[in-house]
Amino acid sequence: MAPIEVLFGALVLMFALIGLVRGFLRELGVTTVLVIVLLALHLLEPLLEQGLGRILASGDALQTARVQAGQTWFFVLVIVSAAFISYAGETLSFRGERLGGALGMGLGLITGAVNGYLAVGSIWYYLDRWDYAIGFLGLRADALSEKAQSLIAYLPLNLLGQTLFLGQSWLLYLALFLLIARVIR
Amino acid sequence: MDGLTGWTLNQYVVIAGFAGVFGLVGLKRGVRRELYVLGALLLAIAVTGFLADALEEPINRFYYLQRFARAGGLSAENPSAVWQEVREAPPLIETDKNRGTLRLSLLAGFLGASYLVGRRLARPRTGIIDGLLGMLVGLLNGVALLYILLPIVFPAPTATIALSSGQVQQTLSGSAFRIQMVVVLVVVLIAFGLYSASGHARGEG
Repeated sequence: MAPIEVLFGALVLMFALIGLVRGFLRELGVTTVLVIVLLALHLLEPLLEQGLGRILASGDALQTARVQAGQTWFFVLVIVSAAFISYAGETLSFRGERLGGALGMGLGLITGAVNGYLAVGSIWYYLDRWDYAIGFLGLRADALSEKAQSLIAYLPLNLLGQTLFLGQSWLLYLALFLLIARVIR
Repeated sequence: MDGLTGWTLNQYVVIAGFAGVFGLVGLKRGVRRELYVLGALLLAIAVTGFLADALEEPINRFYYLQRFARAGGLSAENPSAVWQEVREAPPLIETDKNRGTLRLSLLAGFLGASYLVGRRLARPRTGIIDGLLGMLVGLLNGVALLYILLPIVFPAPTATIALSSGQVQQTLSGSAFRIQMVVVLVVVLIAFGLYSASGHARGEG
């Protein structure tokens, strides 16, 4: 299997190409949904982690591994569902004229890549958060390359979860910016 | 240095002051023209070092050829002796300072070309939002330029009017700061895209 950073890069590139085809305004709708979902997960993570831990715990020796796998599956499925719903629907597309030429292509490519980074990067973040507990993927924290280990600090929730202003994270301000832009548009 | 007053400037003041000048230029020129400069600066960050290394040898050769031609060249009485004499002189680009000057020249070339190309190809400012977006991109241009300039102008941390260039350099090269700049750039590009997708971008509103 290819190293995780190669897979990550390839998937972000694929999202960028999808963005190129779909156009900037549609992609921005996906960005908005993903940022809001990530904000919700970021805020609710301690609560969800605790709740899932209680539900999945059964008292046997394999408890920790099973709880970790369950928690990873839950967060990964939330992100995959959010991405699927926002890509499949038209509901949050921003209004406006479709941008043509190099500008439209460039913005579509960049926004697509941002969506890829948010979706795939968050999945990687949750895999790493619980020590790559989903066994069949064949990933292990101690087997990651140096490059992959250095990239973990730049994954969406590590980066955008940092405090920006008034004790609130980047995610909150990005979500507000996108929602205000959506309302104005 | 007796009798001189010491000024201590916070590194953020220096970054803000430098970037602020570019922000004002951006406010006047508009976002489209500033995006050309930003593109050129990003390209300069990627290729200036590599280009300077690749150009060093050809420039030195051309320098010797030019000196040879000025000393009479092939029409001199003894071209071989003239060539020997010319080759004994030190090359034009030899020291780190020379290399820094070459990098600065390349950077100035990129910057000058981007301002001219932007002025020729991109529409001027069409409204206040265009100007404000231009100011934001201009600020990013200032930060990017400072990021490129500091390692060239101050290879080692130096104190000038008690301003630690090392501190500014450290702040700029910090990964968190760079990533924050990337996030701000993406936000500005999204705002620009939304503005372009509206009729206002062409002065219709």
